[in-house]
Amino acid sequence: MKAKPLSQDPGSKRYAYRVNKEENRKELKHVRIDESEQKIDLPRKRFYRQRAHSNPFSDHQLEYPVSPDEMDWSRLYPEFHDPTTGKMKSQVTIADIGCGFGGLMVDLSPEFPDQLILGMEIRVQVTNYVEDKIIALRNNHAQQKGYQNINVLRGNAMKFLPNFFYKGQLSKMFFCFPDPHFKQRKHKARIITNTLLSEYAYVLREGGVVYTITDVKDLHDWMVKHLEEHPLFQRLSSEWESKDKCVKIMTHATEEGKKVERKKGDKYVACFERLPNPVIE
Amino acid sequence: MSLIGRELTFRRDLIIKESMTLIHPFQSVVLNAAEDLLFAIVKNEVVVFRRSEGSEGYTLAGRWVDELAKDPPRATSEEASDSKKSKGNDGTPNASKGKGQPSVEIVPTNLLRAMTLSPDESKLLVCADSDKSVCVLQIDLDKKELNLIKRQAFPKRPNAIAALEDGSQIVVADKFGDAYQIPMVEETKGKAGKELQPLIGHVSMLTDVLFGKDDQGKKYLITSDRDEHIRVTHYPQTFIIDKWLFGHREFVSSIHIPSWSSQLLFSAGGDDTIFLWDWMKGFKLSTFEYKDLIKPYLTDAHLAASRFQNENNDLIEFAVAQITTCRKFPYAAFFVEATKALIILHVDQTNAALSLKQVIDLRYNVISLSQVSDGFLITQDNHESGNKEFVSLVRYIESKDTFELDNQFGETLDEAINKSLSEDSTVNVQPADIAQLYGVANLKKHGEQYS
Repeated sequence: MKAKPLSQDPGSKRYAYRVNKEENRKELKHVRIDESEQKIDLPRKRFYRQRAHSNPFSDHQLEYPVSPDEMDWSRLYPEFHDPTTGKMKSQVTIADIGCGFGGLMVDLSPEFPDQLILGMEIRVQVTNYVEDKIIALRNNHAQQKGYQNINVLRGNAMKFLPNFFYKGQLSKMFFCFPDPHFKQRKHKARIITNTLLSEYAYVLREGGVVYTITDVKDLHDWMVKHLEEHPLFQRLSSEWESKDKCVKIMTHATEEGKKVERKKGDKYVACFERLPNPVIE
Repeated sequence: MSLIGRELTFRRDLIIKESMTLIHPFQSVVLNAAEDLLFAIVKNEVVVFRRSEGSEGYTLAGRWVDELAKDPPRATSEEASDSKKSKGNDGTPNASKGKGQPSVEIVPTNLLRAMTLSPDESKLLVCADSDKSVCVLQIDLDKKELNLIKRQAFPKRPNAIAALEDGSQIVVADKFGDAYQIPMVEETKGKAGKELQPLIGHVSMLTDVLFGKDDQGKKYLITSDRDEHIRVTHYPQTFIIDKWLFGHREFVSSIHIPSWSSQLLFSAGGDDTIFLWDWMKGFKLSTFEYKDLIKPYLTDAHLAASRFQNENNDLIEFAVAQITTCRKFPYAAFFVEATKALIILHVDQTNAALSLKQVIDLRYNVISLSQVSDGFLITQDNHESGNKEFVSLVRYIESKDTFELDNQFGETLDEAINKSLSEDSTVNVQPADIAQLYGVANLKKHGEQYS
């Protein structure tokens, strides 16, 4: 018989860690955190390791709303929920697609205090890590009400993005170090394809920006080619890139970005603006 | 055993087998607008029956066999399984793969499916499993011919076709979630999947595709998929998505726009509810729950597969396979896969409310459904019936305000079918070789066990 992975072995340290964190998460995930004396340790990544890839075509057990109307954002951003009107004070306008360990969101959070930032990640353990990290950050910065504008969802953005967002709701979408899917057979699994770009254009407002960064030259060329070919996107100049604070954060904040830096690898950035729809024929 | 004895047994087998062949069930039928030509898909063959003027009888007026769909020898040949596995990304054989793998028995499903008439009814479009292609057949009945004028292969199996109003283009929706556009007649430039880029794409199997036109005459492409989505996209600017119609909680298998109200859209699938939408404005008008209605018709065939089954072994799974409407009257009809019932709904044209009109009890399972001016055409599974009741017509009788089975239509057609197809070796099969006709419920998602 095959041995169970460590994470499912009740005797292992990792298992105990996960059970503890999960209980913690269930309790703290959706509550407003008030000032507390007790600091929570940031989660440790090594307990959340998981395969680096997930098949975007398989039927994952995902939770997603039937439509954007049915999405309850107050559970993710309780500080932005107005109990008197029952409505949200802000909408999600920034999405980090495939947010990984959430480094980008953590750095974007103080830069856009009034905007809601959502990370979407398909890998369960990685999502759990980000949730635990946000719980800890919110707790440890409760006095300043820090990190209330970021959260993460386990989701498949390639399939269910329009279930979460209305037409033109987003102003920024980040695609940071996406899975390169090297094999030609797997190219449809890439996060940027000409057909998916139409869906991203749907959820982006006019003037909204798609940010891409990768350390794989081939993937960079692919993303640029497809974005350039798409009639609703136009590349932003390198001058614009050099002035944009998000480009800076994206290049240095993400875990992948740091890893590439350590390895002295190259990083390729390309940003595209969502053009207005042309006249409908 | 003596030699003679063995030979005798062999002969007896032959006789038994011969006596048990039957004409393959009709997977799908389409009637032209004048209702004198009936096109049908039988296994990998298309047949046309014509009703001659002034007579009630039908005669075979044309046929076309998908020669590529010759039954490959069942799994015994290594070539067959090899060619299946060793295809590379673009369909070219890839010699490095597929070696040393055990040959699995693959029962070929070389069927034709998804048949549509071109808008001017001069051509018939069918999807062929054999080479994952769309075939355009020119209808030339004076010569008793259906001529293949175009065959376009795709990287993934086409599931549904729609023809543009002016007949110039066809849109083909595939199993992988992409929809391609090709000219109806002229040669397609580029090979699908390589130079030929998809027109639109979902990251989910596409189940149906339609063209729609709004009050200003602007065109749209409407697609449904296995992820509960119905998407409305501008056409020809298919890079602009107009909207999604949200409400399904299970896969969508069939969508339909009635001829009497172009802003309406019916949709159905794995949900126990039928949806009616105003697809132009983008909201749900009404729903109809059919769960209790269909319960008496469910059988063991609807029990969920064992790996998804519950402890009591009583988990049932059912799905609507097709929904359509009458051309002339405000009635919609649908059927649940592997049931012997056609459910007809009335559509209130003032408030779009759906109400039950009638349930037509049938002797055999419904396989397909299509529209005619004053009713519905269905095909039935003749596994049990022998060579009878292939196609039935349900007509609306205005004077009685009720739908009735047109028995004479069925009988005369049965007669014509038996007369003209009983010697046809393509469509005469052993009951065991009848294709798997019930695949819609398999689209249900069960979620992964591990993540």
